[in-house]
Amino acid sequence: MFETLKQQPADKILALMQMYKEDPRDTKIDLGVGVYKDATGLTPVMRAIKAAEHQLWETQDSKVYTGLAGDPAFGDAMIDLVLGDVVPRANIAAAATPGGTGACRQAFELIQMANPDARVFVSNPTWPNHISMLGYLGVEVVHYRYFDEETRGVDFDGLIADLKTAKKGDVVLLHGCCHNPTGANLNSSEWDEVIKVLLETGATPMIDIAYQGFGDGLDEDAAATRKVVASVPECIIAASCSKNFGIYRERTGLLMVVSADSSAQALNQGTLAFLNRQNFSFPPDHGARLVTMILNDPALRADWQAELEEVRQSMLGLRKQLAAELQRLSGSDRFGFLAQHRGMFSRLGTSPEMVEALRVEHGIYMVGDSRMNIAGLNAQTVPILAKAIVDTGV
Amino acid sequence: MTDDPKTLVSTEWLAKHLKDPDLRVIDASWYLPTEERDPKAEYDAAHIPGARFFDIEEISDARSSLPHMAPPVEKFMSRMRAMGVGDGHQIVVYDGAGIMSAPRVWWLFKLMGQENVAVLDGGFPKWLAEERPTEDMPPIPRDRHMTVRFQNHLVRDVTQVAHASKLGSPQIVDARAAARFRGEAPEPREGLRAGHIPKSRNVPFGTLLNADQTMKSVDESRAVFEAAGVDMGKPVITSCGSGVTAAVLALALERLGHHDWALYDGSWAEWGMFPTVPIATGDA
Repeated sequence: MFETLKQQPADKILALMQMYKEDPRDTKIDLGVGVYKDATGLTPVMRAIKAAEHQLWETQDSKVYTGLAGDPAFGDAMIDLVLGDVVPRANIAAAATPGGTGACRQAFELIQMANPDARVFVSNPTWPNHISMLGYLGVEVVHYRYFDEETRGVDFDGLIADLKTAKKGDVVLLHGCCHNPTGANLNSSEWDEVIKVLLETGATPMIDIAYQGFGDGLDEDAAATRKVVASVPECIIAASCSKNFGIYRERTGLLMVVSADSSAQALNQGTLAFLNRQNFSFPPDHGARLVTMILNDPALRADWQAELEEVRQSMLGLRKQLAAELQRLSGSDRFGFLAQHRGMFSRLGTSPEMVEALRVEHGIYMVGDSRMNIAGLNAQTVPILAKAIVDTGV
Repeated sequence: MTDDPKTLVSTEWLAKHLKDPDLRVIDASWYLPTEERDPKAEYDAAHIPGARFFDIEEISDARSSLPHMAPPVEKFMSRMRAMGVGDGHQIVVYDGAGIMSAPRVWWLFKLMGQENVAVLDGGFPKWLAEERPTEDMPPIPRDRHMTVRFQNHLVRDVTQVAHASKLGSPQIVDARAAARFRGEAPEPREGLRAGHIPKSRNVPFGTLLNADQTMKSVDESRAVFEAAGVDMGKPVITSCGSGVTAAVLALALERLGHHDWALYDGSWAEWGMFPTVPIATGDA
């Protein structure tokens, strides 16, 4: 029976990783996959995670199932981290999911269940898996203008014009911070405008927040999400712990659905549990438990925040160094956007041919749309990259 | 007095505008623990028709260990939306003491970028004394969006106040009672030192009020500040026990045209427990 299957498109990033491995040049730089790496190119286990795992190993006396929506304590801790006390806890339904991807997938299924005709508005570009999952589920995707190829910032007028075409029953998917793949983000007053459009159209916002703490700080990165949640009657939030806790393979995420009152919350909570049950019964617990322990233990939390802040500062430092080096070599300010962008990624904004030339001639590996993982750099490789960019004529 | 919908309005003004569709009335009553009054229970029993209850303790920064610090912008937006208070509304704030905690909420709205906010002169006591209508049912709010622009210049933290204390400018003005200012009366909160911020002046907030708890005239208020030795040529930072009555001074300053003021949100609850900042005792 399986002869009917067709070849699925290969994941471009994973193919790129393979090519990088096979490249013999010692000046090669991997800016591909979306994983944080320190100056030595490693993705270490965070100190607080190690400490929590040690504690857990000593104290955990059972591996019996948690609830369908995961351990409620995980939901409480993450709601506090992401939303603070902006809305009453009683208005929020929450379910643990396998990573942020799982949270998005469950959210899309929830949307489809609530309104089979819903269209989901996504930024152009967005994380490719958003579009892939929506397409797989058969949900109509509408692209709204986002990245301005000229300024490498946000095409705000285009974005607003496109979002105004949404209507009640549609969903507008927004990146809470550190936009993936561009690195270009809305400022606070632009978020105000987006909120006004959401209220005018009645469309429901869905916020994907996968990099909280990687941009301007934990609370700063959550500010836009909180502002949206504070302003609209209903909102979906998909949060990931992969990056900010560095627990990628543990698959730790949380889907939150905020409703206007607590009676709607009960229905949403039941639906989230049902959806988990259909897809995997119980969500993974190990990562969620570690996150809960860290967030609820002042000492572990302080250590985690300190290490996360080092990560954030190191990426910010690399951005500034790269922008300065490019300014020195090119004699122009046109790369200043790299220092303005936030998060792990920046879209260089160049053609696939240039990206190819950077790879073939200089051993610089980035995704074809010219997304660079800033964390793939270190102080020594920044000048190599800057020279390659200028020499290639980007 | 002259009614000014951005600072202070009379009970007559409010009675006349009470049915305006874009008017929102807020009960911002709050009392010191020693007063043993329950502002929410009093609101439930009787309030100005249509008034919403603003809980100063709840609508605050839950992450701060200091009492009722200004809430994060998003929390304020969320609570106002739920209360049905938002863009395009004229807001009138009152309290059950006359004028005590209402100016704090007036200040919070200003801090969040809302301009059309006034305190009710004489508050609920005057409203009741004039036998104006009250009700015991809360209004049914409809969601209303509020666009918030945080006004940094209206709030000061301990570092900025320490700086001002050292330099003597901006002028710090303390709204606490004279005996607390001098360090003679005990602080109502435990663990606080007694005294005041060096180089601050003392204008107990009650000295800005008439016997019926209405605000003194602009000229009388100016005289009160000057008599306390406040240099009105300088910008002012207002302070008090926990950032509530400091807003009474701010409101008075705003009315007399001294717009260059800010409020020290931490106030004595913060300064009094910080072992690293100096304190002074006795008269200013």
